[in-house]
Amino acid sequence: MKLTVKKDKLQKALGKVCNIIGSKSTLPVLANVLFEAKGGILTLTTTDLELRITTSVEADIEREGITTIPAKRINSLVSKFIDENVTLDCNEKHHTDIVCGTAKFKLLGLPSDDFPPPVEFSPIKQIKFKEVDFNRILDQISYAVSLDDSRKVLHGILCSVNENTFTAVATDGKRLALVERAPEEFSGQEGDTIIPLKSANELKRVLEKDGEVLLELGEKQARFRTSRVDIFTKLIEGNYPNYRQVIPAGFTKQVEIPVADFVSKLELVSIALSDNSAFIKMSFENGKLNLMATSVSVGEGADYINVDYEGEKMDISFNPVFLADPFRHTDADKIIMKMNDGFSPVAMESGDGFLYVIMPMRNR
Amino acid sequence: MSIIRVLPENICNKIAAGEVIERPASVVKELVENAIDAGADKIVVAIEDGGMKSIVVTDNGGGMDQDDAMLCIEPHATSKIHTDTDIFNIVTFGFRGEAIPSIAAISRFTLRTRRHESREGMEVLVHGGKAIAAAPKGCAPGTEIIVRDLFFNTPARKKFMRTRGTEEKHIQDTVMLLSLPYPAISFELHMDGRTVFSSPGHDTLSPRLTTYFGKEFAGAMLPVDYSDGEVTVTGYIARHGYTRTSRREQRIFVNGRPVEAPAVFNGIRNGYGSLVEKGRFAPVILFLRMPPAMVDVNVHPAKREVRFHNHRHIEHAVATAVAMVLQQSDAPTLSVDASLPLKALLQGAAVSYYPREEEPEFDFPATTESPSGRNESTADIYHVRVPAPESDSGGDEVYGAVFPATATGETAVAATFEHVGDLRIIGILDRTYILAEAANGLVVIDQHAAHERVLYERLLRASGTDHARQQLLLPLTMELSRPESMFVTNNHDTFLHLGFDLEPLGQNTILVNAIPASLHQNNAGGVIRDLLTDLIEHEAPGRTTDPAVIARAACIAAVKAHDPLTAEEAQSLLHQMAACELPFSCPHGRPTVINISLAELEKRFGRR
Repeated sequence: MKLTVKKDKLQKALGKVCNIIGSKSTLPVLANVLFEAKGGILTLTTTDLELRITTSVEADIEREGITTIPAKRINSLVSKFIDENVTLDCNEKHHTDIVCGTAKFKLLGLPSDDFPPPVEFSPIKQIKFKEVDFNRILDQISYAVSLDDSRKVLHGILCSVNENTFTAVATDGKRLALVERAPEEFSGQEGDTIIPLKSANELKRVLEKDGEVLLELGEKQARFRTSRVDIFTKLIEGNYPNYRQVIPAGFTKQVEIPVADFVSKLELVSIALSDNSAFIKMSFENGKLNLMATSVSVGEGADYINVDYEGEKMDISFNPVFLADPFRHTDADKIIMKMNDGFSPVAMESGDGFLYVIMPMRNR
Repeated sequence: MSIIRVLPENICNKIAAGEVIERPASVVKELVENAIDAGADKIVVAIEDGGMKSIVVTDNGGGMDQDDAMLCIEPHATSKIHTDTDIFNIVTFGFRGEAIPSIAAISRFTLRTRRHESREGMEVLVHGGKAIAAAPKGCAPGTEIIVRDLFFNTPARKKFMRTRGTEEKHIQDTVMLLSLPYPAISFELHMDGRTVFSSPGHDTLSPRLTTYFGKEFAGAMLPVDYSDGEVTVTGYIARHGYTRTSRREQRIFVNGRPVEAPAVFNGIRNGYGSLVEKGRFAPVILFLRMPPAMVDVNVHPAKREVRFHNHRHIEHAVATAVAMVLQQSDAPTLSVDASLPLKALLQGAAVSYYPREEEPEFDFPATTESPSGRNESTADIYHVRVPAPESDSGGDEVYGAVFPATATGETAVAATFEHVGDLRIIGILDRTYILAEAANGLVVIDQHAAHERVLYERLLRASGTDHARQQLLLPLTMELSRPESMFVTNNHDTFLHLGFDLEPLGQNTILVNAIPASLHQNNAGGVIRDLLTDLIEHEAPGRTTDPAVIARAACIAAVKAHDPLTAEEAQSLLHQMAACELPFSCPHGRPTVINISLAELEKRFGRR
């Protein structure tokens, strides 16, 4: 394999694939990037056996071929190179000479035969989104996933298609975040798929402002394709809990909350809390939403914002982090909070298909 | 006059009874074993008031004829040994001929028995070892033994009986344990007229495992069937990743007899190898069969211990049996989750607190805090020298705790509160100890002990204002073993008080509706399971337990499941410790902090 490639393009491509390289792996070849030069295109692939990321760049190829090169090394080399072009020349022992301007390196790679081949799978449904839209969806919900829960299905994001509506759900068992959107295109069977959080995060990392992403979902595998990157991932198998069940059917109270105002007051009042196990007490009374924090070791704090609330006074307490999350991840300037009483689930909606359900804390 | 006397027979029997019968459960054990030896296929045990009021064991076994019924209450009368060589070929449970006379010596004892072929049975009444009456009587075939008012004539023993709940737990454990090797025999246990369990006979053990330990447990067990010619190992072992914090659930039977045998425990450990982390134990139920000549059961009157003639042989057989099953079982489902470390997957829900491997020993960059603790005023604080508390093994002035572990003095607490920020963290040693620089030397903090203390005080400060429980949006269903669910039911209010809302759903299932917010735990299931294992081992499930005891267990479980500390967490832990009332010892009384003064270092390096 011998080729010349623009340094900037190579650096960008390496940045896309190298994130999943772990420092300790049982298979040495997993610490390497697979380089494949063919028909004017240089393809770079990495995998951790759960996830496989592929991207390609245009290159001036003198001799086609395939090899693997240690990822961490070539990544730091290329990021420090200053000249415009990088030449890679690999011999049959998988030693690659890397030349950029006056700098010359030889990196010892491993045979490409050792690199795990991609897993074949047949998609049962295909969903297309604008990259920027899908990025937004992941942004709005992925913080609600917890990797600590013993229920493995909760370690991923549920992607469900029903009657041409795409629903993404994330929950840690205490709160739940959900987004409903109409996809650009959809074909195949309706149904549920659970995407591991790590794969969703990798996808989010490579999504850009323009272009579209195609989700090809199979039974156990999935493939996410953008114009620049292909991601293969294993899926989480199992049945996701029936999340519709936890969304209350009706509410007796509804309050519109100004996002920016609320977040700043919430952050202010939280300073009085000693640690993240404490709670924020919200108290709705005529035209006002009071925020109160008390802590044995620090002291206490309170502030309020004006809201449009009439009716009897109502107190409700939340974990401050859980309460703040939907407000921090929204574009909307108002979130509607729907409640029944101080100990039943509370819903928050921002009007763009986003719904958040949270369980209040109980103080006996 | 001679002072040495031969004891009269009734005293001899009481002494013998003391060795065999230490509590109502021992009576149940002896009687159930006799029933099994009698070839019964249905055994019913009914007790009242924890066995102190009455114990009735009914079987449909062979029964006895009238002469035997009279003879069996005589000491060392047994149907099971005829000559002395038989002692080395024991295949039955009882053989010493001690049980029945011993029980009869310390209770109001009734025996009703009838052989299947006889037309009438026999009833024998014995009170405190004295035969009161013996007469033919109509009764069902088999044997029924009624033991009333146990220990009525040995008040000293009676005084040492624990509460009813404890005795009930022991009786339940005894019957469960004895019934495991005999799936074909139907077992029933009733307490005060209430059915505790009823497990009909079946060809395999699995239905009984489900009845006793729940569906989840039964589902996690892999059958074992191994023989090396002489020794046969059968039973069930847990899959990888299914572990407990103690060895209590490693149940071993040798020739049908429940025993504790270090050789077998070693075999299990070797068989699992690195699949089970140190300090955790895979639940197993193993039945070893071997020629009676290879094992000596006549070591202890209660027959709890056995000796093997070649213990290495046994160890090897068990290890091979376990390893073979594990090799053939499905690999842990690594495909399920891409983002968990392998180690965590192998351990299932119970994630250990050991740091991930890539972390270096010293992983803290020096914090940016200015070492302002070097001024004189703080030096005074760390100068407090007090006699070390009892629990502090060091006890000498050199390695004494920074503050007394038992200090309640407001000055000490207030002082740390103010100045804890001045402790500059240098690093973490052995993933366990936070090393910090103080004004007068080095402070070593046991991070787990410290963390336990912080959580413990937070949980117990339930009545304070910053206590709350986080309700679960998706409540968690958990299957428990019988004693565990009994414990949860009996302590429901205490759990609620601490912030655990555990709702019994009938049978052995509970619904976890809320957990204490202060535990800040995401893996609620794992914590509750570890917590119950710990509590069941030490507490009576039938009794309400002190909140402090449950809180202590909860903290330990939560800390165990906690990930390694990051730099920020370590710093925050120090701050949280400062807010504790008794920051210098963990809930068990071990010290959390040790101070090595500069003066001490100087002395050791010969600088002065």
